[in-house]
Amino acid sequence: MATGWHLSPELLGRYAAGTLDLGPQAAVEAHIIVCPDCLGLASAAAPRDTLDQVWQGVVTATARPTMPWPLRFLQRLGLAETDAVILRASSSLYRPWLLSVVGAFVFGVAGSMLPAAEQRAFYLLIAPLLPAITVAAAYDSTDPIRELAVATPYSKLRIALLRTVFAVAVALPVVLVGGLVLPFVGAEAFAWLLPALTLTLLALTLLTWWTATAAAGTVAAVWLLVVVLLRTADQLAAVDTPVAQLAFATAALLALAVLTIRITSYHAPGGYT
Amino acid sequence: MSDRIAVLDGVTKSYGSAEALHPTDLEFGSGVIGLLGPNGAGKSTMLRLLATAMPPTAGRIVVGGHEVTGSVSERTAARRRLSYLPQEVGIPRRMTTFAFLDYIAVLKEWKDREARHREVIRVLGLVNLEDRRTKRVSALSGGQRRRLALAQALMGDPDLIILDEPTTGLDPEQRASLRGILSSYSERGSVLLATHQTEDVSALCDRVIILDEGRIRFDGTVPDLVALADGQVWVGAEANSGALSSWRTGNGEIRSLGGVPAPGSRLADPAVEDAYLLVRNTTDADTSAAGSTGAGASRIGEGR
Repeated sequence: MATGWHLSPELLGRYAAGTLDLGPQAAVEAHIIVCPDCLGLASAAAPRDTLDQVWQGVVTATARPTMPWPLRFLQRLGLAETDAVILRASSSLYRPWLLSVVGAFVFGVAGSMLPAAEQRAFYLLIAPLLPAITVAAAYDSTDPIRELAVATPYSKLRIALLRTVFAVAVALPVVLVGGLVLPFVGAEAFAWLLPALTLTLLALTLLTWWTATAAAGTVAAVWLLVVVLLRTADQLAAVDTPVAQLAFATAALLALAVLTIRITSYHAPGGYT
Repeated sequence: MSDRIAVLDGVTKSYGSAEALHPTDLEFGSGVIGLLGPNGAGKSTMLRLLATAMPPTAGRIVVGGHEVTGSVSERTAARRRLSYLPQEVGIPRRMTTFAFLDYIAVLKEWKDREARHREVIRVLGLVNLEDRRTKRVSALSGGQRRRLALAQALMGDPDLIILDEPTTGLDPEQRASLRGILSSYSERGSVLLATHQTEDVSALCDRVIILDEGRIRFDGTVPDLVALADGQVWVGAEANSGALSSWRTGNGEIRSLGGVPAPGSRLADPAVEDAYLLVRNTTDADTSAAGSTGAGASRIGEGR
């Protein structure tokens, strides 16, 4: 659209230098939108560095991927932006989400259908395993970027902990809610917490040697054996005794010690060296 | 910049009973170093060891003054000084190019978001993928994925860039562009690349190392390597009898390496490929007059 007047060189110069007041600046911008001649002059007068910077900002802002809402929520709670990038890139974390939801469903339905005598054994079997298997599932043994990631300085222990905390944060509430609302859960409602910690640490330690499937399978087999032996001897309540809880705490500390040694000697969960 | 950017000191690597790398002593200074050798020669093993992707069976590795084979903190310090492009990188298909590089930049400890994103855009420009910055990896061609993997290795200002077959999947223009980028890096650091492309070596490398069955067969400059084939390359109407290798060239003449010259044939200028084939087919002990290791030393033989 043609206009009857044009910006003076003095006004253009001040506009390009950024020294105009807000009012005149808005007027100049309103004019150059409709006047190609003045737009050309203003572009030529603008400092090249500033234009490059603005353009770079536009390019970056349009390319930057958005964070998924759970991570944005966690960022509001204090999660560092770099940690959110790590979690966003961990595509294998979708699997534990799914596992926990399906696990909770199966847990509730199957538990209700079992004979009353087996319900406690079933709960004791599943409750500690769900967090451990969820953590193991957070490690894709075929992580395609592993070869690249291993040669970077970022702490592999931090990656392991981020994934673990994220997976446990999903699995733990599922089992807790299950323990509180399912009718067949009695006195053992919280007896599984220490076994869960022990099995999770055991899974993490085994992950420094094996694939996620092998580690989760071994942990599940070991715990199944323990529960079957207790059920056969009619000693399920023994899990909740101070001696048993002390034994679980000791086993957890042992697993933690081995895990620490493995991580400081080239091996971290998920096969990172 | 120290002359010794990376050091291998008595390094070996075994997989079970198979020895992938026999005891090796090497030093890398600034410049572009080409690693040539057939498949299974130990090139990727050597690069993975230097990249800290796996521990050696024995020996000591130092990168940027930090002992990779030492404590975790030393290994981490070494990782801050290097970049690595593995032979195969399976980038998750759902990621965008920007998100992938952003992730790797975080792993490389770029904490400030604005600076990190500027670096991501910069390296995308270097590999000519700027206009693909919002595309998912699944939408990229094979060559574009390779360039994306390469981009992450060009981030920052590493002392040592380790590239396993970087030119695979690149067209001639992209290869020429990559050579320009790498030669500019080589002025301030060391670029170590494994390749099957002898033309990359002749166009780019200050130094070439030939590996075969886990042993160093040659270590020296490109002119030194080519000189090994002086007087051994012939062209004519017929192949030399007993030639190590012979083939028909584009102008219809037969090019022969070694053997008894056929009647009417004439000597030709050797190329890197001729010398490489000659080294590969030579079983002599060390014939070099130069020292044992380090840039500038040249040798042909069985290693240690």
